[in-house]
Amino acid sequence: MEQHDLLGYLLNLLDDESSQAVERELQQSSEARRKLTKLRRNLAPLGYDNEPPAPPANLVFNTLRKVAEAACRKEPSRNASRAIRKVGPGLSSGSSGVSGWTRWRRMDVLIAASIAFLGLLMAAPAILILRETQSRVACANNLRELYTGLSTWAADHSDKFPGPEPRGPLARAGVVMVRLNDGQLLGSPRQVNCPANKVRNPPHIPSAEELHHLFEKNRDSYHQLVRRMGGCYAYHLGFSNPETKNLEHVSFNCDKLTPILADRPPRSEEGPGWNVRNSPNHGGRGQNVLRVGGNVQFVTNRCLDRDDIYLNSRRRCRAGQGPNDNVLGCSETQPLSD
Amino acid sequence: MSENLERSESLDLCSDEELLTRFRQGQLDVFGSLVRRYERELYGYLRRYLGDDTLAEDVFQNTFVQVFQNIDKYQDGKPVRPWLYTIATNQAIDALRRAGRRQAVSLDQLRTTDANGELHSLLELMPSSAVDPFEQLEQEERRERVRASVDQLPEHLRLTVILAYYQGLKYREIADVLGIPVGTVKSRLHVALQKLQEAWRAGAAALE
Repeated sequence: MEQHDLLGYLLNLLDDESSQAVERELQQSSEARRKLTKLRRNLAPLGYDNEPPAPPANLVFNTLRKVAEAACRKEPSRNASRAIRKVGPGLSSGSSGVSGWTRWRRMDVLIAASIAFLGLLMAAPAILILRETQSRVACANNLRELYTGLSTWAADHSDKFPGPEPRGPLARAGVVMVRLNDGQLLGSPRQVNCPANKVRNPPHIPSAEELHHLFEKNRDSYHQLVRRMGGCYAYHLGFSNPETKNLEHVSFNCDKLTPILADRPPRSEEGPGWNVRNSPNHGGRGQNVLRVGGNVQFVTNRCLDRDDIYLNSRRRCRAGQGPNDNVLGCSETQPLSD
Repeated sequence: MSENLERSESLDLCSDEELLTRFRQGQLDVFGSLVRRYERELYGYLRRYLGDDTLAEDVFQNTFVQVFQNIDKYQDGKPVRPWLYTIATNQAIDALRRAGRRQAVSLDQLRTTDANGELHSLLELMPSSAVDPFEQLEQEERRERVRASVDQLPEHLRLTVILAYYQGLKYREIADVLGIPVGTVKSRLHVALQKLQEAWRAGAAALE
């Protein structure tokens, strides 16, 4: 196997077909696995600079202003008349050509047109910003309600929060919701959907027993169900205990800032950049993160303290490699590789 | 107002390609949605590549001016993301030419001294679990040194690393953005990582 195939696999640079071919090779060849491990180690320092630089305030507004100015400078007659006709019909003298402007100097017209044009360009973003703010707050409130159920469950289970099992039908991140539902700690199935997503129907949340049954009898239905049962959120996958190698789950005793639940990350089939982009729930602007201490914070990138909350230290959507490697996965995510 | 809200919600669900198609058909306000959608990603890319806040902001704005002015050249259905990256990259290269090439990062930047005046190399910078002010400071130093090591790569290699590692583009997309064959992308990335390894090893050797 070529080095660039392994590198492509590690960094998700391959198309699906090539990626699957590499996975098959990795399953069969210990030499390939050894090379991959070495490559991963060699790349590790790059991870220290994972946090994307934040854009300056008003970047969108300033960009649209520049676009509006350029548009009205380049094609004044067309764009000015188009903008002014829509935004301020009273400004126009009635003619669509620049030569027809009688009461206004050309510069006045261009400025007015730029402002009007900017208004047109900004219309959608302005409404989006308003709506995003509302939905972020609604989502944060939803997570706080879920925290009540999670903490009650933990109090009954040696202070451990619910999480997926290492193997078998309950080895899926969304099992957290199954646990809450089985324990009657979920206010409503609607809570598994982020209010920002206009999903009308809540998903069916199965019992653990139903999952066992489907896993044995109908694997296709099982896969469909586990993908939906966790809704729009991502759940802590647990971490591998460095000494025992067992899968462990977050407890009340952990750092109070440890993330336990968040808006779900993009799925690989949702297009390129899925492994670096923010959650799709809030238009890619960021994600609400619920911490062990119960507080919810909207963060604008995936890295908390340089730790990508959706990938482990090996850049995989799998359980953490240690107690400080926190990974939250979509409903269907398994904590351990097959 | 509610009609506008519904419209902006529907824009939210549109793919990039649908947005540009609607814009070409005269729906002006979708352009703002596109800018907003790419605000973080494209600015992050430009900031990494250009290494300067003001220049990155300027190039980001010029990129969308170009998109607006060249919308007729966009072919319906063609993936928007690589197209935007291509425009942004060309704009960034032009900006660098105008501003004079950014100063090469000194190899010495791969080493740094701590409060006791002791030299440290990148290879020393392996993770530890503690989260305290000193640890945070160390993390910040690690980040700076990794960035410096990437910055000192030749431009064509640096671009490839940024697009592949930090921006998450596929081999095929990087090839489209840079206008080179996929095989060249693979070899560039391979060479870039070799150079990074050498730089990191050199940082370690300096301590001995």
